[in-house]
Amino acid sequence: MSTPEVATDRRAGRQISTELVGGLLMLGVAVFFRLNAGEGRLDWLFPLVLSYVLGGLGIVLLVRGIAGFGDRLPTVPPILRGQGVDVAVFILLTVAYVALMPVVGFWVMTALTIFVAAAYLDTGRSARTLVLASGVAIAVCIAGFLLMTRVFYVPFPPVRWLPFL
Amino acid sequence: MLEGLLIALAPSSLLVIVIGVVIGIVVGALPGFTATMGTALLLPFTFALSPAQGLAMLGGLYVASQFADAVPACLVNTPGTPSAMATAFDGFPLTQQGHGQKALVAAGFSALVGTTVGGLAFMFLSGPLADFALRFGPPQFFWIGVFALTIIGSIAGDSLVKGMLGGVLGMLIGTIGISATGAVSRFTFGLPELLGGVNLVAALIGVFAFPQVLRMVAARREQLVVAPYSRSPGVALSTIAEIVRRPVNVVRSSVIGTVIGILPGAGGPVASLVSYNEARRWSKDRQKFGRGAMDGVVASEAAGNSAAGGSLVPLAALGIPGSAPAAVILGALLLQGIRPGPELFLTQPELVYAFAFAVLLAGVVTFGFAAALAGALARMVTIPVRFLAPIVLFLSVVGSFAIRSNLVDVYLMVGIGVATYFLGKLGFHPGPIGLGIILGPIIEPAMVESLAIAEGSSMFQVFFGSTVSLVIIALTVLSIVWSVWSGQRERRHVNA
Repeated sequence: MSTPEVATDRRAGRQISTELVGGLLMLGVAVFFRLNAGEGRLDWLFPLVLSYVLGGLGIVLLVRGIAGFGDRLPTVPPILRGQGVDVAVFILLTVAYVALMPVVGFWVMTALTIFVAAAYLDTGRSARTLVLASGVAIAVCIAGFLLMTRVFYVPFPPVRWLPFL
Repeated sequence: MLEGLLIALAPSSLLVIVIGVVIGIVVGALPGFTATMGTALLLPFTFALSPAQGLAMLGGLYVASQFADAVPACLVNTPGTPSAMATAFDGFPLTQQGHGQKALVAAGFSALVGTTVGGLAFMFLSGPLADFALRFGPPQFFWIGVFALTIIGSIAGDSLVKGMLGGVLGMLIGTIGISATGAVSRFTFGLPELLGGVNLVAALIGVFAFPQVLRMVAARREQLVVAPYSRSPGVALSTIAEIVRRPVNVVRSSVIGTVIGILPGAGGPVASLVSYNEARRWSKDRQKFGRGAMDGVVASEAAGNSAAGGSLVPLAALGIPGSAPAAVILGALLLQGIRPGPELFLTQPELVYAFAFAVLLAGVVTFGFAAALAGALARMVTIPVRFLAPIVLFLSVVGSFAIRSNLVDVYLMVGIGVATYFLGKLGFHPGPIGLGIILGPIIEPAMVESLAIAEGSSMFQVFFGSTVSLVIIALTVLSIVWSVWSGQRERRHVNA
């Protein structure tokens, strides 16, 4: 089934079948889980059955893809334009947020992430919107800090260089 | 019973109910924060209260959190608790169509009906219902899990094969950690942090919330806000009238929720998913489900809330908690020197009835808050995406971390979220993945225990030997046959 949007993308670059990619991916996951499964009837029966079912259904999807069924997606280069760049940047920002959290401290990283994300996602960036972004980041952190640490007592990774946080 | 009503209606009781409801709404609306966590946090405060007031406060929190989990589910496609997963299937599409307020009012009113049915069952049917719950052993729970899996047919999206793959993948994710027998660590690759398994709430936030953030980011140039909002006076009354005019769905879902709620271990998530499936099955507008059907929101919320009342039945009648929050309430009772069980109805009936009336009143108070706040909450979708996306990310991280104070849960949430986003691009619906994550930990222990029992007797006898098992198996077969038949009929209808 090709939508007009997909047809436009087809002109922009090569296309791959979602069934083919999905089938290969699931087959790969099934093989990964099967190879890492151990021995023992009761302990491994359920994951083994699941990995075989996953592999079997993955093959069904693969065959459907080879037979030409299902939607098609643009290959990597067109994906990396526009929306794809935004998504990739946001994922990288999230990875940096959670990876640096134990080192820099939860609340400082949260404020930085909200500010950077809000500034990046702003389509009409200006000094005024950047000030607003920093205000929102600080306000969210203060509200979150009071609620999470004073009401729910959640022990977030501390800011080691700022003892009161 | 009258004495119980008078205790529940005392000003001090009403005050603690309102306090419990307010905290419950906050806890339920924050993804990752559960009713269990809220009741546990309030537990120390119940020392200073009389037993009836302490129970009223915890009951109020429990009831309110079961409704409030629908708020993020409807507004940003992020279930506040696992029970609201099915609410998001239609609540979020309704919001995207500009009907966020309608979705919230429908959720609030259905929650009220569900709480009322569950509360009345708790009050009047505790004895017989508790006896019914005792007929459920591991084989019956195994079949209940298999029956719930048939929901994949309803929520798979355009491809049943991809839906089944998603369900299996979700269950495989659930096998990470210590095995059901407790003897072996599986797929942990030597990482001690994975021994405890993938946390259910963090995984569900990863499946639903994080991909939604990425979708917001992807569409941010064309869609500056998540959804439009226009003030619609009278929408609350018209929504309630719409539900009342066709009461079968809300009543059926409440009954299903109550029955599943009394089964220890099954709980709200299974109840809301099964009810959603039944609502779709019996609806004349089946193709609307998943695209903004109010009946989907009604079914899920009514069942999730009635399951809360149902989970109190075995607690009061047998001293067995039907859910994790009910276990905390059991703790509160024990700390007050009260031992729940059949004798409680004989020795302190006023306490049981006061608790039941408090649950019913909490339902009314919660609905009051829902109706009053629905408009303001629905307006939240007009917060610009550039602010909403990082704020939802922040709440997702907080919710994943708060459950076990473990950063690995946050990393898993992000990993599962990124994977689900790209699987979505390949046509995989997140619903079956979430369903698998919820049902895997119910099905596997039940299957392993049943097999262990079967070692001492016949496997056929264990799995097929009871009437309850046979009824559930028959329902499962009927569900599959109905799905295939109705699917073919719809295709014929579309082709014609």
